[in-house]
Amino acid sequence: MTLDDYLQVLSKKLNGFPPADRALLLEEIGSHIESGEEDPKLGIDRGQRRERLMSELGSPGQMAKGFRTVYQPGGLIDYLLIVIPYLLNQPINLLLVSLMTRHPWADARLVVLFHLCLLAVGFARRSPLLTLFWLADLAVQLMGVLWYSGVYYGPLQTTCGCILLVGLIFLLGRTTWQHRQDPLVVSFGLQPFFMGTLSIGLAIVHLHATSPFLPFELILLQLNEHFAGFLYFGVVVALAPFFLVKNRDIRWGAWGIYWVFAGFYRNWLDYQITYPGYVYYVWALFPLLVVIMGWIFDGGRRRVSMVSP
Amino acid sequence: MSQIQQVRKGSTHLLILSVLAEEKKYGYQIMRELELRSEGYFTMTAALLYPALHQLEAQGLVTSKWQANPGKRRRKYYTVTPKGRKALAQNRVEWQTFLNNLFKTLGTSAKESEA
Repeated sequence: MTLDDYLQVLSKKLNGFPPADRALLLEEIGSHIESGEEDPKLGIDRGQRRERLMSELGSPGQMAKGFRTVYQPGGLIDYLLIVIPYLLNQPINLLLVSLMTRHPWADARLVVLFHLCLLAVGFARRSPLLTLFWLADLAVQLMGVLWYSGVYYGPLQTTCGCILLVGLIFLLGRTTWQHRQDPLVVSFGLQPFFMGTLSIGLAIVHLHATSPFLPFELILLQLNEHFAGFLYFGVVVALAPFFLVKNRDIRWGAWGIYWVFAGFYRNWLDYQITYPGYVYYVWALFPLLVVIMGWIFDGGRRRVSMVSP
Repeated sequence: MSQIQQVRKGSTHLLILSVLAEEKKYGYQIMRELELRSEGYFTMTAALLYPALHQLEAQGLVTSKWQANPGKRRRKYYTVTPKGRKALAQNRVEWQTFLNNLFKTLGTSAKESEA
């Protein structure tokens, strides 16, 4: 590979970066090559210098991977690919309910198919965040469908659903493992799945529960009811810095706020189906606690990476 | 990856900051300076150096500025910020403590180990 080839391959590997950013990165590497070609310490002639330079560059793939971890190109598109389906979720559900009376096929299976399409987009874009988000969401949705309506769909569809669920959990684990060096990605992949599974577990345990709320809890839940719309859109707003900002502390902060909004919004939903009071604390506080622990761990890890292996 | 390789990789940011502490430099200069100072022990590929520089910039530890280079491509010079200097000073102390304790535990000193 010649040095010109190197820049061409690097340019291809940087696809997804905004053209202006890509041009600047290539200019910097081009300038590096130019400096090396003029440096007599690298060899007596241009050929020797070029050979030495090539051996010192590292692969274009490795370099592009390094830049990707810093810049997260395509963050805005990933964000929109999460937010738009999230906002469409309620209208689509209402549409399906209205269609179900005439068309029995327009039920949760369509939602699963819709999620599969979004998941395919995540894989096609090679975006770990997008892939993990829809993997976790789909796995939890499918788990709920199988638990609540498994009998309705009969043994064949239930078996297919179970196989799909196992596959999704496997992919979720594998994708998370591939990004195990980044606690933020690990948290983004595992926490929604864990909370979703916990939610279904609690629903099973408290299938016929009444509502033994303490007065304090009732006040908070009624406040939630008043601010449900704010919380619903708050989730969308909180995710924006997570996808669009480079600073990791801000991203952890956004992830924590996301869970506060999601937890309180969820509590309002739980309130409607009368879970016992402790569920309130689980939803509102537990995810935030996990995020804070993750942030502390990540901060320590980043500091240590400068001083030891 | 061996343990020593891991230590070397983990010290990338610290080494870059220490090279930049004296004066602003561009990527190629940093690479050569590292090689010179360590007598060839610490060599870094461009694929490791440049993303690390951009990472340091994102963390606010260095800033960069393009400068014209007549008749040639522009060069991007990096400078350590006050935050970067603070991090460097702190990490130097931590490294020193780490190495002193390592050698003490191994029953030798840094100078003896060099000999």
